[in-house]
Amino acid sequence: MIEQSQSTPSRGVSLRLTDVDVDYGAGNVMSGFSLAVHPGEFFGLLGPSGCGKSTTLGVIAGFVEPSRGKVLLDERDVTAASPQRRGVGVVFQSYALFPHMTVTENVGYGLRVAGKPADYRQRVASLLELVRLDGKGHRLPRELSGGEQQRVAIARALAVQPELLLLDEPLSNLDARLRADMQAELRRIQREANVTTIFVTHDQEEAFGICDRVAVMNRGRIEQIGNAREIYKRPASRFVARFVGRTNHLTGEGTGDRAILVGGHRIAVPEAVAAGKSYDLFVRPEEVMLAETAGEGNSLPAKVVSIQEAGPHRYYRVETAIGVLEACRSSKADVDFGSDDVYASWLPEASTLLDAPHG
Amino acid sequence: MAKAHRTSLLITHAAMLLPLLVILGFFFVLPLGIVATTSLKEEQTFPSLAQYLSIFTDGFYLEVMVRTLVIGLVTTVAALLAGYPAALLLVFSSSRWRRVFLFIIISPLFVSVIVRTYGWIVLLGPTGPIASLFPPDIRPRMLKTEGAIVIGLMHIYIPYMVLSINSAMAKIDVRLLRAAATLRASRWQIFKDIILPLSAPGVVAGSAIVFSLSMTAFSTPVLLGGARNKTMPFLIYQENLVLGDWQSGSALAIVLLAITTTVLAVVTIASSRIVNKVGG
Repeated sequence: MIEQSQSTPSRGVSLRLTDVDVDYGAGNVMSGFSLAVHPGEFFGLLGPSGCGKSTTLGVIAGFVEPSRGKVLLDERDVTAASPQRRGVGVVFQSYALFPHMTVTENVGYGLRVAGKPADYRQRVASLLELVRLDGKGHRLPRELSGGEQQRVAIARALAVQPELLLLDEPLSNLDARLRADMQAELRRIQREANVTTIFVTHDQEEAFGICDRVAVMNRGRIEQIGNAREIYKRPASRFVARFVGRTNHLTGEGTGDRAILVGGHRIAVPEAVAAGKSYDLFVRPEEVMLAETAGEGNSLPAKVVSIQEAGPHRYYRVETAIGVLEACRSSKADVDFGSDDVYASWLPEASTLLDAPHG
Repeated sequence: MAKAHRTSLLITHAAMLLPLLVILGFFFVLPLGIVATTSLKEEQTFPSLAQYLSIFTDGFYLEVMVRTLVIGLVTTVAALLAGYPAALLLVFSSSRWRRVFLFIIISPLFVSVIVRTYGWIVLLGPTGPIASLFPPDIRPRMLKTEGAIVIGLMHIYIPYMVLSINSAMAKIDVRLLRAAATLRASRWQIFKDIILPLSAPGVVAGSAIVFSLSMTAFSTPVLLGGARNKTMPFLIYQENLVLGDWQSGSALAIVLLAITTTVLAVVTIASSRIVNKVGG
């Protein structure tokens, strides 16, 4: 589900954060944070809770004032502008619907405060249609399901035709089935409204499932920006490699050749390394082959320790001389390794080598 | 088994309510019944509406009734007007300042009503600090007026108003205000459209408390209003304990109760639409 939408012309704006610091008094929540989002893009901010995603969103919307750095919308400096003057729509995690207003009143609120336009009724009606809530305009928020409330929140934010839409974990309160439906729905609404969108989430499947590009955040910094494939295939840091997807993490010392020593065993790596330096090597479980005979590339005798069924896949944990490795195979494979002696092998090109962080 | 469990739960709940029910029964329901019965006596006839008839045809009684009602309403409105901004300040101040403001607001409750009322007698008296701001020949008479009663009552009851409005405001999610701001609502519009309606349950509750307390206050109206500005509690006391006319006193007490509950019922019904919508 990787979309290439850069080619479509759009009304959305570009967003740039340059060197932003946010300090809540107890240390920096964001430091030296820079980000560039293209017009019309569906951009994801992905990271564990407490990584600064929501603060980033607050800085963009104007709820949080950075102690340093700039916020630029279409190169217009809005760092000091109030939320009212930014043209940024927000859908909150809790939806933040006005509990004393009906669905129609909620959706139309932004239009009413600006002086009710002549086509007020039609505009609210077409927004309700966009989010497929026609006929529910007279309900109060508490009479709606979670998914319906979320769609009201989206319609309300879109009513004032924002140039930028911020979605703060909008799917986290929904059950798994509804979440999948809403992902497609969000993408459809975003494309129809044609607005630059930033989607904040801690759920990688969600981020990679709908976003054009994703920034992986950790401790108030961006670790990597890219599309789902780049981030998964070529993680730029130890954090990204471990946070995104499952991986086998090996640490070893460089030999001066295209190999590192892991617990005394020579493991071939994709590039030449410096002798004596520490390296992190990451191998995705699906790159690890299991066979009864030694395979190509790195091949180690292994013993199956446990098997975890995961629907279409099956994860094997195998014991090798360099530790326990995880291998993923399709459930369709008719071979059942049981606890037989096997070989675990992978190609050096299929692994990711990174300099180990200091200390 | 589920039924047995439910029964035992019911017994537990009843046992927990029992002390309160006993106290309410003996010290509230029973005396109220006696008062109501007494009010329906005329010489040896029972039941008789003679007491009520004489109350509602006597100009003096009517005047006291109207005065009590007006003082109750004015005190409530004044406490609301003064208390609402204070509650707003309280909810939007930082946690450290909130503690200071809260202490200032509830500090009147630490001092006895009588002491505070005497304080007002000194302040409002003919030789007090306020009067001495005026030249001797045009000094306004402040003590023994209805205004003095309102000021004294407001001072005593304003913490109740502030606390109940504040508790409703504290429940307002800050994200609602942020959402309104991103929809380009001005600060005034955010106040008018979001904060005001969502704090309405607190306004209704606070007003109900202040109104019932003001209507039934005894010592403050007596000390600050004097004999010329009698309110119903003073009158009831007089009928019962000075004149010994328990039938008339009881009827007046029932009338006071009826006026207070009627006003509260009207306010509750009138505000129920918004309060229900808010879900408070």
